[in-house]
Amino acid sequence: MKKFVILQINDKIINKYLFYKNLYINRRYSSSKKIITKIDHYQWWFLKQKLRKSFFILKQDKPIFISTSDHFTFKNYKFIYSGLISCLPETNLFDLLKAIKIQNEYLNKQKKKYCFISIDKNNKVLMHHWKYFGYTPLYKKNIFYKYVKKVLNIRKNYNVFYKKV
Amino acid sequence: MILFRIDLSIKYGLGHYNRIKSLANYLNLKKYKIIVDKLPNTSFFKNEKKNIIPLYEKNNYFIDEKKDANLFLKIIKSKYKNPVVIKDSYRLGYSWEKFIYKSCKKIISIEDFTEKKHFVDYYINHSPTFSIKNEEILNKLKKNNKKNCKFLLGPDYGLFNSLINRKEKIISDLVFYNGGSGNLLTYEKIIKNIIKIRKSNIKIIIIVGPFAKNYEDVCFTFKKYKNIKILYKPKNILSALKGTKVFISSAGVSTLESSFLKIPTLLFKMNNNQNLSDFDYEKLGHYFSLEKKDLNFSDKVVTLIILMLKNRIQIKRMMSKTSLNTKSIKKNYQKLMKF
Repeated sequence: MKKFVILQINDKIINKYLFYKNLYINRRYSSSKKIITKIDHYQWWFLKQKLRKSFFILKQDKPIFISTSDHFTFKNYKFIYSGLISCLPETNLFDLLKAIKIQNEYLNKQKKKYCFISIDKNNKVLMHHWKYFGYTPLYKKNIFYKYVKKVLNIRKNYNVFYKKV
Repeated sequence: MILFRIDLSIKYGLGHYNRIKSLANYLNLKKYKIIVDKLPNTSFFKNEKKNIIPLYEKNNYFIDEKKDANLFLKIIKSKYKNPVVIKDSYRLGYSWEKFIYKSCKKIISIEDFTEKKHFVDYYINHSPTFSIKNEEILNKLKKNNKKNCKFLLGPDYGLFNSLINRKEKIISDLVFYNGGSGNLLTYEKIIKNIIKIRKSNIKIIIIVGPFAKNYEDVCFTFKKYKNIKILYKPKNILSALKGTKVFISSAGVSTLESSFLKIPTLLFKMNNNQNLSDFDYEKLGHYFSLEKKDLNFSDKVVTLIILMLKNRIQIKRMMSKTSLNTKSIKKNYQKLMKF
């Protein structure tokens, strides 16, 4: 059985983080397909990375994914917007599902929070798996809909799903 | 006798000179001569003048390695028989070394690149690339050098100025530097924008190297700014580095100096010899390195510098485990190099 473990990230991976973010596999399903420049990344790191909780998912001591969770509040609600960044140019379904499972274990430990994910409509794998992890589609009539779409800058070709933990 | 042969001019800057001075210091060398193309026309070398020998006369210039070696041999044969030759030059390589080899006790080369062929007894390359043993590069080096050559590789053999005057410390928020011959006006827009944003609430030092051609222009450009201090040809940049919060510099030898003092640094890769990978600069504790072309995005650079200033403690923490230990570097050299 291959061993999966998590490892907290620190500031020293700033350049590796950018390298992973710019891998085609990550840009393909990202809202911005462009390569991120170092200067923009460094600025983002000081401004936004502090608000994000990220950890590596390691398989046999090698990073395969970074799990990201942006924590923010809306009125009296606490939100988490989570995502995955692949550390490899190619991944497989088994590793991806394992990574989602590990991320969900982290999310399920959070108390009284709403967790959101966005999935590219063209991502056929993930569009079929959200239900197995307890997520529900975020419909227009939902009170969070407008806020979440605006704050997270979610584009039309993305569906948003959420769950309460 | 120890003879250094180095590149020292506006074109080649101060890096080679700083490195050999550092080596002379590590090896406690008192008697040595530095052979250069022409006598540098700057007061910076006033105290060193007695040790500097120009190789070319007034209207003669470097043509090729063989002619250079011939002239160098003349100096050896006339005055300094059987010397140890230490060479730090991008222009002189295998042919030059092979030509003078028989007339020397030992030849040592200080190098930045791994591809160049050599014929020396000691090969020094302090690039952080060698922090981790890389068999592939090591084999390449061995193939490019003569048998029994000793390799002194990585920051454990770092050659940089580490002589700090503990009493001298120039306090500032930012220090801008562009090497011994770099044009400081490259940073003009950035410096002016920072002052615009932070007004008088910031103190900036601009270090102008001894080979910089436009010292007067730099003075004129920043004349009206009271919070800018221009340091011209300082013997040592460490006192300015020690007292600053963020250092903005070209990625030359000063990367080692700021790493040694653990000063948060923003590097710009200005030349081909400054083209290390991010991961190599990280080995020295430098996590922020940009390309020369990024200077065109002055607004973004300004924002980044201000963010680095605000988050300097976080950056210092990132640098905390990287340590260039001059005592152990000195020991490493003294153990291996006995002439």
